[in-house]
Amino acid sequence: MDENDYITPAQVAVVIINAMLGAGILTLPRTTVNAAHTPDVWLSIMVGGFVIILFGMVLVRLGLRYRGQTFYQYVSRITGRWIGAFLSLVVIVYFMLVASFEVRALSEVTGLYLLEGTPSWAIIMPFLWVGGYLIRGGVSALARLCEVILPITGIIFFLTMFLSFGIFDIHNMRPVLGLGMTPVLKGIEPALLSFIGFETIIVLQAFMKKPEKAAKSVIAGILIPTAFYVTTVVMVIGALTVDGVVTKTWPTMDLIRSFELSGLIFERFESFLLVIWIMQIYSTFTITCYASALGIAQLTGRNLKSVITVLLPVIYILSMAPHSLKDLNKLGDMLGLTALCLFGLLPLLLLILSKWKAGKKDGTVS
Amino acid sequence: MGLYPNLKRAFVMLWLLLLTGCWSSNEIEDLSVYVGIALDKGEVTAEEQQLREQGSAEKNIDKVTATLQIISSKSSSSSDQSTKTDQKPFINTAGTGDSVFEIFREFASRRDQPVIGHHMKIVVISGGLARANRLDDMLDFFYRDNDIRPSCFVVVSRGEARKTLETKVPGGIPAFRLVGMLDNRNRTLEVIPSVSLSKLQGYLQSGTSFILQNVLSAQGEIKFSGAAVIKGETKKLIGYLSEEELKGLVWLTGSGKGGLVKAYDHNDSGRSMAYEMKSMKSTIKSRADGKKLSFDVNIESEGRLIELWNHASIFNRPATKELEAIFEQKVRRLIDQAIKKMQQQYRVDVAGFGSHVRIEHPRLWQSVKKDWDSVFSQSLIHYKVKLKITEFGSLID
Repeated sequence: MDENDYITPAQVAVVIINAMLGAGILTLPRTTVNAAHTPDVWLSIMVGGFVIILFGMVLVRLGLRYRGQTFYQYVSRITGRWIGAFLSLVVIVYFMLVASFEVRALSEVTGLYLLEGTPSWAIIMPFLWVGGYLIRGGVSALARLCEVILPITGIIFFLTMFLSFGIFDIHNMRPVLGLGMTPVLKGIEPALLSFIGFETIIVLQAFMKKPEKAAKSVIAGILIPTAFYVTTVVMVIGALTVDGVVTKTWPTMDLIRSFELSGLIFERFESFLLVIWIMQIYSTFTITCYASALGIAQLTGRNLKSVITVLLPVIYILSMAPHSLKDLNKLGDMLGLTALCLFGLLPLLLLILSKWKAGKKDGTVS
Repeated sequence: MGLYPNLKRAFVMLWLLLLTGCWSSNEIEDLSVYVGIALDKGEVTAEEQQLREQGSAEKNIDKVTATLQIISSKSSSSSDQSTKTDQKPFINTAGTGDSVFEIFREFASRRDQPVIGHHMKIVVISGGLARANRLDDMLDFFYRDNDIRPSCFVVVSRGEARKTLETKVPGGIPAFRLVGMLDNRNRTLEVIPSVSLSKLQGYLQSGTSFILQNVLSAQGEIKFSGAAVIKGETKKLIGYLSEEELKGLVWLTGSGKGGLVKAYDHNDSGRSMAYEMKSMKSTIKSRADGKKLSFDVNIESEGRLIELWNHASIFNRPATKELEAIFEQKVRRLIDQAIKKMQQQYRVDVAGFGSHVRIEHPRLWQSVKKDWDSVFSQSLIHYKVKLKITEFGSLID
């Protein structure tokens, strides 16, 4: 690993935030309301964020035991060579699929609302090339880009969301907990899926000079997206109602399309939302693509840059695999569930195994 | 420079090709922008009839006639000096069929510039059509289409909807006028909160009954008058609220932003007086007694005495309390009419009482929401009206 390629704790938080915000933000109100059927889903998201912080903490603890090593490197030391290689492979494929999922979601939404008529390959290919170009610069280049786009995302996102206040009706958000906690619990599962992205810490932590600071970064990296998500569902449900949300493919887009402000320079704001959303898709794509490429590079001992060159066409083909939007949504749900098993449950096992092994080695339990 | 400096340069030059512009751009001059649509009962227009006689059009049932209001690009360009000054800045063109999308695409074979819906502002649905067809069927295309924005407004016309997209004023665009009129809520109680496609979808999905602004037309003049009542269960129009009933409903729900109450003195019917409402507030509380529901509504308003006829001098007016009582009585009469219409004639809840039950008694709501309209028409509504005249304008008293 290059000695100069390192990131600060603040950058880790920023990268995690950018990895998390992605395709989910446009669909989150629908997926959560579909499960819960009440306006209380913002509570589900908060609970979900808390659960994800716990998951993240386990990953950080695991990373702390193997300083300067990525998941791909330390997993073999815990489980032995073959199982380790297999787990690494699963994680590599997972990141690859997430990258292709994001790319495909990008082409679907821009094809519908922004660039109707432009063939999807013409949208996707430049996107892949620019992404590939960025990650050739290593993790520090990636982190610096994330630092640039996060403030832009934040400002424009909250601005457009609050501009929709004119069609917001607090009655649509009430009653709070009218049907008790059960709907909230039902909403947690889809809410958890939107926090996918925290798992990038398994790669990022290895690039930190002081990996013990990763815990704070992870907490910040999860709390800030929680604020984004809660704002989104509150504004969307408040304007479109619980019953209206479930029918929309991209409810957050429809929220912004549901109002016009005359008198300002701009009357419509969906292009703003799409712009920041594309930036977020881009960052999620580059981060996951990097995580996948790094895994392959470390597993096979090849040069990262050549791995990226080979990986991009593979991601392109994978992104074209789902036949329809329905398939794509299915893929998204499947990926989410995989992630929860892979980065929620598995690390806990690994951590226990690692401690047990260490304990056996020097006779004391650490 | 590496091995093949020229090759590298050539490769870099290739990237310039990406800067050539948008892939599938359409020049705006080559498009017909429509800003309003009127949906009427299927009635083939004269031109269409002639076209059909010459053998166009496949067989279809004439369910809907869609009239598009297209901004004419010719009138907006000033280069053509020979155009007559009285030429309208818009063109209304109609098509008939049983699929809204098909009608829209028919225009591609009738006009050189294809129609696009990015700037559609308003849909006017004729009452007759809304009585016969479900709203969600008629509007389905608008929801699915990616050009048309859900911010587009929906109103109903008791007469022919296409007449509301006409005007005698040269230079005005009727669709914009309709949208502008929806903004006048601070001046009159006859304009109800505007319903956009996206708000409408919430109603349609939840199955609640609701009202849509009704617009009348006469010889190129239009007026908002009363409202159309849409039943949530059938999603069809079942009747209208008159202007008075609508005002009653607005008072009941406290949704007015500005407007007036006109009343007459009990003793002297020639003495008209007007109250300009400055604030209106209605608090609705639902009470559940088993499955029987009742509502307590408390309506409060403040405003000024703005007009008073037939009094000898300005110091000789009836006492403020007396005037307030007269106005309150008038408001009560309006509200009574509205409640009677809702509970007895149409038997639907268009005042949003259901929403109060949903919020205040969420568990009870689960059991009554299916046939809420009939539960509502049997529930009791108690209301109190309190009007306060706080000032008398520029006159001292």
